[in-house]
Amino acid sequence: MISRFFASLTLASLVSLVGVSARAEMLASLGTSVMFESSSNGRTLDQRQPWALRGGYRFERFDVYAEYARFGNATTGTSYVGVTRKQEQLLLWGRHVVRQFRLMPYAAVGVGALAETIETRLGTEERTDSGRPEAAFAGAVGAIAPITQWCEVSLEGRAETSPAYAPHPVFGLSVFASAKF
Amino acid sequence: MKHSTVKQTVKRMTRALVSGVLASAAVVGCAPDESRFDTKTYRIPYPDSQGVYAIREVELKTFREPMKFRGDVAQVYVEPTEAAGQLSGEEPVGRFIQGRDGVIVPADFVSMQATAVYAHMEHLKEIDDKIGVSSSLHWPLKIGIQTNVMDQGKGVNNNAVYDGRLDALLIVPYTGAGLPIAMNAGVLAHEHFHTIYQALVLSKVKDKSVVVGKPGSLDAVLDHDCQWAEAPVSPEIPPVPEKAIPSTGKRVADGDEVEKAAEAIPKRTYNGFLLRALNEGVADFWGWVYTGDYNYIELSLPREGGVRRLDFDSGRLPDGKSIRASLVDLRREDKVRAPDQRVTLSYILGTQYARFLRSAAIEMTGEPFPSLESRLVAARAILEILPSIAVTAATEYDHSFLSPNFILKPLTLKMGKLSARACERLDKFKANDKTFEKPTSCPKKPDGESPSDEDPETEGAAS
Repeated sequence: MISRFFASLTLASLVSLVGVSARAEMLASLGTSVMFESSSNGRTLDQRQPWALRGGYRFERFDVYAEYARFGNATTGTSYVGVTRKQEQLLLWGRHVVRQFRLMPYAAVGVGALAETIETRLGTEERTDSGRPEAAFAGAVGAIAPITQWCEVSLEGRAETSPAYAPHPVFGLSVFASAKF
Repeated sequence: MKHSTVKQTVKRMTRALVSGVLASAAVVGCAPDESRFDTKTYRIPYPDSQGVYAIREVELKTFREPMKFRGDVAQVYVEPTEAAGQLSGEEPVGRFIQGRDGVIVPADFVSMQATAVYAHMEHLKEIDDKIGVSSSLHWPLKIGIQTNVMDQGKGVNNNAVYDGRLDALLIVPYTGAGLPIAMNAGVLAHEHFHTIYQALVLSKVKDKSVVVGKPGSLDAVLDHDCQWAEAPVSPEIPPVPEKAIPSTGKRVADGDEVEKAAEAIPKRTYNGFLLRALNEGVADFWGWVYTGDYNYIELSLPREGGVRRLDFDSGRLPDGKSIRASLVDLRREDKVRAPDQRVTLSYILGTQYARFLRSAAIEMTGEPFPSLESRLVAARAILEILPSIAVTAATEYDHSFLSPNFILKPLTLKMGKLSARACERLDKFKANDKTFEKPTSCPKKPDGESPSDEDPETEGAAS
């Protein structure tokens, strides 16, 4: 937890340093996604809904931001034996925005890490295991719709890959509400 | 720092970042399964040598592709299907993390079940290697979990099915409040034994052009699935059916009618029933061999545990005539009970065999709670008599009614010199149809009657 905090702080500081030096606009966003990952049977898809926070900077034609996402607990099993899966991820995104249009399309790539915590239960015995962070990569295409001078919303389709998801990437849709400073 | 220089720098950094991300993503996406983990130790619910379950660390040496639930010993499918007579399905997707202590932890219930099943199959193979039966089986074994099995239009739960036709173990979803069947070591060992019995006995009998049974056919008993959640409550063979009232409404003289129908039962139907009972009995015994727990079934299916626990007395085997009478159903056109009823009855007889075998194993080892090594000695003895049983069954399948004692002679020969207690136990267990001669090492009866003075009946050559 502490190392994650310092990693986030370091990342945020780097982004801030670049942003301030470039006299860019600050961005802060809150959003949620619907992500689809392969089910255990290899045939169907399971749905997950993380929520996410973003913070970064907007330059003339691209944005740079860090995104922290937290997935809701996914519990599977019976009343006697169960597994609860918790996931967090931190991605650093670079987004190229075409600003000529009112509805601004964009493409983005992200890199970062995800970490999962597993709670295993057998009768009254419970055990929590924190997983080693694993690399995560993402790509997204979407569009930004300004609402006011200071607010905008964005909708994007995204794909993520990681050893935790291999061999199948995870797909989804995300919607964010952003404030500019 | 000039504004334009910063922008150019950031631009270059972004380009480099994008290229790096795409390249890395491609590498990650194509990364081989095995490279993700640097250990072979898994954390799953698993029993210790006393049969107590806890979340334990288990090393799996052959689980080479955990994210596909696949290894040298078994391939586990999730919600499998059947294609061209084989168990089939999409490649499953396992979810695991590697904890900070290096141990691999399943991240969902399906992955936990698949890992537990694989762990037990790996250890069962080690046992198969020790007792010399590995080479008779086909590896990797095919296993399905969360299998959708329909029975009369309804999904089946809380069960495990060995399908001899597919040579696959199918575990259906578990909805009970106990240990899931996919994690129950004894149940998995029981099911695994069916693979052995299929290879050593049934395939020899079927080679004799026995028609592979379809549900509803007379031979379905041989091929029918192993059932767990439908064991009958009574541990005894049911008595001769009560007076049957056929559709005409006319009462019949049931005694003569039942006897007549019993003798008319096709020999292969009756012999198939006996073989099924032996299959289930030795499989229950095998679960005890693997776990040392005489009541492993109760962990998952409490209702059945009380009926099939192995520490109860085996009672006396019914003779062939009684068994045939119990298979009669005068209400049916062929006057034989439906295959599913016969399967259910076979479990009752099988439990008797299982209890006797366990007590014989305890006698053989001289230990009241034999160690695994001692239990394996007994298991090896049972295994070594199966080929002779297969030969007998194949020879007599269509020609005569086998005696329920058909296992006893080869078994007692294997056991060697019997103690007085073992002789007494044998005497109390054997069916009273005069087909089995006690070993000469057993004490004679007080009146001096020697075992060789008993006249064997014409029924059954296998004693």
